[in-house]
Amino acid sequence: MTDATTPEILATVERLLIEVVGDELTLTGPITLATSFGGDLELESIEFVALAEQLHAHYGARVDFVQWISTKELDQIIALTVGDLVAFIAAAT
Amino acid sequence: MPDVAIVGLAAVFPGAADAAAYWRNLVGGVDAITTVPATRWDPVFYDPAADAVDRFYCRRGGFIDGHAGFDPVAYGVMPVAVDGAEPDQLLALEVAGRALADAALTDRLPRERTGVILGRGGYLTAGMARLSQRVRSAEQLDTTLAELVPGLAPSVRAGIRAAFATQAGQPGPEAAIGLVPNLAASRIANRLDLHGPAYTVDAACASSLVAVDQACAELARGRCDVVLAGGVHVCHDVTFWSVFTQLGALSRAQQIRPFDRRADGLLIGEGAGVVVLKRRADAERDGDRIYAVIRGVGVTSDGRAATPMRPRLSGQVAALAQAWREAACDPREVGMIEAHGTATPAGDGVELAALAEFFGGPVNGPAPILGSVKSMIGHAMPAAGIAGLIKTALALHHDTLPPSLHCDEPRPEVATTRFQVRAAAAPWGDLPRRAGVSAFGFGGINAHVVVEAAAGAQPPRRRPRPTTAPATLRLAAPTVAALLARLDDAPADGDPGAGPARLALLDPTAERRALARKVIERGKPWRGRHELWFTPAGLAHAGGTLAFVCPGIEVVQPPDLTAVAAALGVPLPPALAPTDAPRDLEHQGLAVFALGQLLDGALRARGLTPALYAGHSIGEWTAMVASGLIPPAAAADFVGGLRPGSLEVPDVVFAAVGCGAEVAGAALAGLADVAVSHDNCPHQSIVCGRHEAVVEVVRRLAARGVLGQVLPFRSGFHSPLFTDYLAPHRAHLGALPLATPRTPVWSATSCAPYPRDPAAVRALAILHLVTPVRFRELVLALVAAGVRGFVQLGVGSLVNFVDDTLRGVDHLAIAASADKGDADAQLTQLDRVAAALWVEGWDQPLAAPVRPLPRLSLGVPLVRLAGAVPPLAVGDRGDVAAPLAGLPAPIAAALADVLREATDASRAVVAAYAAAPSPPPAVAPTPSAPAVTRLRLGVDTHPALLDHCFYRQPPGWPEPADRFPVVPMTMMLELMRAAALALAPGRVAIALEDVAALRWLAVAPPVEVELRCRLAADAAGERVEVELVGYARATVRLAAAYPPPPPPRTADLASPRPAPVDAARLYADRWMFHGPAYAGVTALGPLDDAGIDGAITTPAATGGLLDCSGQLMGYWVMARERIDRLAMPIRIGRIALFGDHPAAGTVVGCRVRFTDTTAVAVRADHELTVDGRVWCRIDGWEDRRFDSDEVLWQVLQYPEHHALAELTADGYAVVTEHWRTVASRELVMRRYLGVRERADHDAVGPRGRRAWLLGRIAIKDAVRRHRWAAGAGPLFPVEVEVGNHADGRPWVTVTDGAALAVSVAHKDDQAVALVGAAGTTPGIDLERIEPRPASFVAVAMTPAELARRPAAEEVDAWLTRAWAGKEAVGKARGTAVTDPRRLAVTAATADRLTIDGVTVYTRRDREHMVAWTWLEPAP
Repeated sequence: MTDATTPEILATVERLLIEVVGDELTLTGPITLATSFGGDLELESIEFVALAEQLHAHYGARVDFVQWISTKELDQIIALTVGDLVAFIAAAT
Repeated sequence: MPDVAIVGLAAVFPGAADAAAYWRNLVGGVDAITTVPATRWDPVFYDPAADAVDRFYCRRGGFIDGHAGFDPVAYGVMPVAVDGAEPDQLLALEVAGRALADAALTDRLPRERTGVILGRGGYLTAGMARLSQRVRSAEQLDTTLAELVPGLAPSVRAGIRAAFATQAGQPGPEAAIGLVPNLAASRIANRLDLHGPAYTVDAACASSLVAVDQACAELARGRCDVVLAGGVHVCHDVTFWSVFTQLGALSRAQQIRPFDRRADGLLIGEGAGVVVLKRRADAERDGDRIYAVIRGVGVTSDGRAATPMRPRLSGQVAALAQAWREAACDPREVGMIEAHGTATPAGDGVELAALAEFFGGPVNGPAPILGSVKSMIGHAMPAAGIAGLIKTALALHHDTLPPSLHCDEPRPEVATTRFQVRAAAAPWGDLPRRAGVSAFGFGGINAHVVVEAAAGAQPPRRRPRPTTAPATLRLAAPTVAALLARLDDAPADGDPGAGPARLALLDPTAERRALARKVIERGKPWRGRHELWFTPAGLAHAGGTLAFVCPGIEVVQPPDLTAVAAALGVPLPPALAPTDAPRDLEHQGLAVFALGQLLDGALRARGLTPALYAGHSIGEWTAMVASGLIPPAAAADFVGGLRPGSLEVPDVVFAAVGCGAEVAGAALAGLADVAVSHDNCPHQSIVCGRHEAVVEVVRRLAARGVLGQVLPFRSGFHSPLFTDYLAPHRAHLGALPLATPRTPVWSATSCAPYPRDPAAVRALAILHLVTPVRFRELVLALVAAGVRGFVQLGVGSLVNFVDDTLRGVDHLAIAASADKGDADAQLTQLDRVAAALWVEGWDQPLAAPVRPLPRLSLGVPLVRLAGAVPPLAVGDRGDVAAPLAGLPAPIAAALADVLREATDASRAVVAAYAAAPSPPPAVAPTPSAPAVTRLRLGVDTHPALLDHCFYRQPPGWPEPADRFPVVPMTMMLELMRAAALALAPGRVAIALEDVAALRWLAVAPPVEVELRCRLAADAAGERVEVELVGYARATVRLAAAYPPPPPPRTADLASPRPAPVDAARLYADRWMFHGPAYAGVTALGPLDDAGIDGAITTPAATGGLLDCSGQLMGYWVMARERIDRLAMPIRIGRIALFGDHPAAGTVVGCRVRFTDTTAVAVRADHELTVDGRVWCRIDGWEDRRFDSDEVLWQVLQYPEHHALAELTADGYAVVTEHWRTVASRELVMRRYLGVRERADHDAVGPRGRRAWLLGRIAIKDAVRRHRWAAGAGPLFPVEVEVGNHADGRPWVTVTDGAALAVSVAHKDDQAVALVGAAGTTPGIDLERIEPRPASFVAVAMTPAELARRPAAEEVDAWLTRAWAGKEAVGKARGTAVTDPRRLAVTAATADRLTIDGVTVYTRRDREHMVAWTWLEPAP
């Protein structure tokens, strides 16, 4: 169940985000690689934790989201885009 | 005179049981005029054609029947005295007590210097009329009878007279004393212990304003510091109506139209109103809430006028001039006149002329408004002035001008004044916040009062924002479709409209409007992303309440509140002064308090108030201050003395970890000096401990993929590590000044409201320092108590914690301060909060459910003997028409039975023929093997079920099972439907058939259930037989697609009438037990004998929509029946579906038509439509009725205020069974018993359970009634826990800490219980009086005792009485009666025995004997 390609990973990330936040996310336009977690999605920190949990459940320990995030400063995390996450997942799988 | 402040008020007027309802009606323009209830005067008096003193051409008016209640216990009045007492005196007492409570003066009243002055007329009130009937009319009847029927035996006449007198009401001194009119005021002084002057004044319709004038004079001369002033008029006696009929003053059109050219007279109203007055300077000094300020009063008489009935212009002008001169105000600066406005052509004409003369003619600029509350409630006579004054004070307080009704074509003279009459509420705008109130009485007495807003008459100058603030678009509509229709054209600053479907959009750009369209079309609530809020029906509308939650210390700096403080007109608290330097723990803590207080004030200034407060960590202290639990005067000292810096503990740190408390706790294994200190939410908790231990925990969790971060505080707060540092806090909190909170405050330590007892509050506050913050559990407990909105007062993560905890539960969580941005950004954040709360319906504080009070009986109906004496035979009886007449009675009866049976039998044959089954299916079913799925159901996984709990329990009650959360039958249906569809992908369920619910599916504790599905097919297509094993079963019909919807089949109701309550009251007043998640009925009624219509806003909860349809059905039963009102679904014949389930928020029309109503069940067909298209049809929905009488119903509806057992005049409680069936007994058992007690119940053998349960009820109710009589507040049955000592004696514990001893006895279907007052030990026994064998006598009694039998007493009664007495003594002593002869009866009277030196009281109650005693404790 590896998502080999970027579109597949993006689709997975979008599905997991909707699980966390709700389908209202899709009303404001499609989620793209340029969508930022802070500015565009207004993701709260708890929602970030829930997303980490979803990623862990989906990809297992291969994708160590927690370790990856912990290397970043707060302003980097706010500026993080879906594309950053997809690239990280692609590299890890 | 000095300015006088109105600091409290209360009212009961037609259509309004309290001042809040009165104001709602005033603003909403509610016409409360109705036809006279038959209990007030008999319909026989109504005759529009007659011209007689005892026939009235008008029968409409304002009536307070159904709104006038009185709480005898609260005022120390014997309940038996209520029926006989003059109702207006009790009503005045009730309203006065409520006004004092409203002023928050109940506990701090200067009783020595408090007066009561009430306006009241000398009319024939109900108590007087009853006395007159008993004393005079009974004699008149007897005299007339004796004249007409000379041969009538004296005994027959005496019987008729007695029956007449009995029907006329209970006699007694209480009834007679109503003749003394001043008691309306003096009774208030007596019951409330007020020592200032107390009297009534009578100045006809000007009475209450003259009372206000007198009250102001008492305050001015300094004799009183507080005066209760007002008026009361409760009189619809036929004599009163006769006077107004003869004067021709009543409207022939039966419509009261003040200042309208078609006005033709008044309608009579009634009611009571009281204001609490203090000198303004005192009120400001004491920090009282001031509704409005009285500036001046004028009182004059007309002198010699044309007739006493015809008012004189000069007298009215003189009163106006006097009042405005005293007020020292310019009459041109007036915003509103509450006129006398009786709608008599002569009266209105003179009043308009007086207004034009005194205030002058029309001027440029906004016209002040003119109105009369008589247009809504009728003319309340001596209470009319106070009705107008309270209306005006509320209009100033709420800064809203209420409308005046039925002035569709104003008289031409209105245009000669400077005033206008408005039919709809409006803001005051630029009008001066100053008003005049007039009341003019018969005989030419004139009174006028000048009132202005507490903040002065100048229209408030809103401080302009430093920069341009974004506009907010607000729209409200009855339906989502109507909301959508208005979206494109609506201007940002227009009238938002009204209705549950609401949208708010900050800075409504074109893009945001486009998004709003999509959001509305989607139909689901949207809360805050992209500055947009939307809901199809607000959380408040469904009964949800609002909490303000105060965060604790955070890492981030407090935001810049300078603009918020400036807009509020208060200085910025020093603790919040902007600084670049990082704050230490001490200053960060002080900033948290200051921020919370300031934001609380800013929200309250916008009219946004919570139902309760709660806090997180030290935020709880903010909550204690904001709620008033810590009095405002002491708050500064308290906060200063807390020294948050002292919470620091060296080398102890916190770490926030991204997992629940359970996972965090598991990571502590083997580590010392570390604990979980905060259970924040499922994805965050905080651990606290020594630095190295905390670092280890974070490392362990990171290895499991859990984020963690060490926080920069050195503190052991909320952990056992803080215990050593507790001493200074113990001292500080131990001396904490406490008051009764204005708003409840909840504890995150106990997850319940703070206790009432000050010592318990202090103990909890100390415990809070060393035990974990249970915020997640607190949020769940608040949700169980109905909270659905959370506003965070400050900086922090509480919003996230709430959202994370409440996944799947419809709620709002929003912070009142913004995390980033400049000072103006904080004002914008408050705009967001205001927009969000407005959308959910929390812009107006929702009135608390009105506690049902015993109703006052206001009328004096005609006495009808109704068979109490046999009718007298006069002359021939005439021909008897019955065909069987002439036959001997037994034969006639037998013949009638035969005829009836024959008819029934032939009907049955015809019916059976018509219902003959169709031919059997051509295709044989092909059953498959069953598919089995398992499912766990609990309130943790399905929190919506917290809103489907059968039993209301005290707020914060720890045991979820006592609430009895059950899966609604309709949710079982959804589970079964989903299971069936899983078997056949791609299909849809077009019908559910043969649905049966087998037993309650309770989910606390959580249960695992099994769903068995078996796919089959027959001529009608595929079907799945589904079983929710043990609980329910149904057959689900499948198809590739839904059939096209048929046209609606349900006809309109034949004789529709409005439902007695509206949809909001359906839940608020507990007709339904459902909480917000299931409170989907948004329109209730109309209804008639055949059915009920309504509208449902589809709830998100599984099965919620059909559950609401069932609620409509259940309500119909409640509205129609006085007994067996509770009905629960057990069976449904067929549910046909014509489309997918409507999305949450969709408004669904629902019509229920009953096909069968029996004593045990009701059956109905339902039809549910979306936009006029049929979505679902239900045939043969059957509800089982639970047998219950009026008493049991009240206990089920308001268990904390009602009891099944009655307290006898002797002081013991007695209860009999109020139910017949086992099902209802189980209902009562769960209502009364807590989880441990239910285990006791189950351990009792089946034969003994009935008596055992009655005994438990008797004990609990005896204790509850005992506590209520001692002034205790609400007490639920579970709050009195009962058990047995090893020797069998019962013990009780009460949650309020009362220590009481009890004794209980039961026999047959009765139980009695006795509470030992004041430290005594009680003993009670109950026995049936029956013949006793000689052997019993030999064992039980000595010959000497036998001989003590009073001569008039039968032997059986005596033996039973003596035996019961011995048992009572034995129980009181706690020793078994081993040798009854040693407990010898040494003296006996009719109701007393002396046994072994103890006085025992006895009472014969029909077939039973009760004996009881209290023993002093052994010295």
